Amino acid sequence: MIEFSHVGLRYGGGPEVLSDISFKLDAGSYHFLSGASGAGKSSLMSLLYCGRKPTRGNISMFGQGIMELNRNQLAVLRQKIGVVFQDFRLLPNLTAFENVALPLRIIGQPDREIKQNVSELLSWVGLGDYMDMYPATLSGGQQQRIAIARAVITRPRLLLADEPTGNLDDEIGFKLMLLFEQLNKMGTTIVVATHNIPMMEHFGHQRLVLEKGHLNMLGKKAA
Amino acid sequence: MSGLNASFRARISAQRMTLLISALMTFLGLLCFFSGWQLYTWQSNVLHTSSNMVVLEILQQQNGQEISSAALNDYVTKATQILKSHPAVANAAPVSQAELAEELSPVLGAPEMVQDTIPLPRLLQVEMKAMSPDYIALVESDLKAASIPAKIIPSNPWLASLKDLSQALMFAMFILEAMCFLALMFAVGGTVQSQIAIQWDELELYHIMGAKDDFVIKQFYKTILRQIAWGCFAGAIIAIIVLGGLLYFWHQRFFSYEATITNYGLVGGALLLPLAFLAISWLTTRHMVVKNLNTLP
Repeated sequence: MIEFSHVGLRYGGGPEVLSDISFKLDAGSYHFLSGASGAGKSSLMSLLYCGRKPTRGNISMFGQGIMELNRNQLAVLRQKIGVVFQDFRLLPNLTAFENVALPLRIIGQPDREIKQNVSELLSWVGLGDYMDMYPATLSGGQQQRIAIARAVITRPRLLLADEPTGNLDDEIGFKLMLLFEQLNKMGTTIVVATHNIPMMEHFGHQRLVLEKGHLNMLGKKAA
Repeated sequence: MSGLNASFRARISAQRMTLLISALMTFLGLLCFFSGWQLYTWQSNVLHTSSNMVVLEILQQQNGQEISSAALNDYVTKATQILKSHPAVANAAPVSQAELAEELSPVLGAPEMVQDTIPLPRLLQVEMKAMSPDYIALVESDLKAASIPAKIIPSNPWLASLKDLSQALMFAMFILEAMCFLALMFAVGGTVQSQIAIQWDELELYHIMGAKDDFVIKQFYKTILRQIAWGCFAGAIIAIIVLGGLLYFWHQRFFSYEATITNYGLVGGALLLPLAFLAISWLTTRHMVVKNLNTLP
């Protein structure tokens, strides 16, 4: 479903932050992406959600080479990807409902369907009573769940999460990971960037380990 | 789109300056347009009615001798008869002394006093069939043959000066109009650019979520362009009130009220101008947003 072939990335005229990255992700798989700070996790994530184009190599997403796509085609491709950011990136002037509805408005879903879908999803993540609240009035865990709801509202084929538990305490972080497990069981391909080793060991999914811009090891699936 | 729009509105509503600038530019633009149009109409009328006109002056002296008032009157009558049947002349009529005194009264004083104390020139207003030197020479020679001491004062030189002046003024109006467009364009461009800078994280988020460029541009249209539309509308209304007042109170001196409001070119132009301001704002907004979005893949 996703294939990186000898991908390199550099910012401006600087050194390569990612070098010769090659891997394949199958549909419905679940991977952790780990590595030390500055190893290039966020850069690799930005390539995965097509926020950047590689400076060399090829990336194929859902059977399409991204280098051959025009702006509109790339936008349509991004609509198949959900992203959960470490800092949530919720819009402060929008309510929880409107934040979650945002991707649906982007794809042009009618208001009636948006209302139904968003209400159902917010109830599913346990925030049915907080739909009209603004992000600033919600706790970190609640904001994280809104960010996840926003990422999955369009039923994306690929869900990317960048340090999703970084700002949460262990208990809420663990519950969040259970939520990802549920989504994965529903068929969503998931990549979670994290450096939380105990959690990776607990869930035991395949690992992509980045070290100084190189993807050194494709971690073995734990028992 | 109400919820999403709220996010943009919450930030952009602080930029009321765009509304004020668009209102001011529309107001000034309409004033320039109206002034330019009136100037053009006035110039056309003056040129049309005066281009073939000359003034014939019966000289006060002949062979160094002062001509008596009675003789001058005879010359006027005789010259009128000759000119009315002249092949180069379309029409000729003497300017009465009372009329002349009235014309000079702002400079020389009460018409009665002017008429009684100052020897006024005997003038004839002559409409030539065509303003050609040959025709003028023919009239002069025929008057000379009839022993009428007269000289022809053509209107060309002062008409040319007047035309130059009015054209310079019209050009100034055009430049002012263009400046209004430019000022609005820069104001809108600056506002859009600053809003993009403020909301860059939000725009990037839309981009990551798969928003096409048109979707993002639409958000700016719905906020900034709405303000500009209100500004143009307000500016147009104020301009119409001011121009309406000018027409109503000063039309007897400067304008023809009826001719102005039934002039479809003028009215149509005045209606189109705010739309043109809106169009230029629309294009500027689009250009600025697309330029910035193109920095994202």
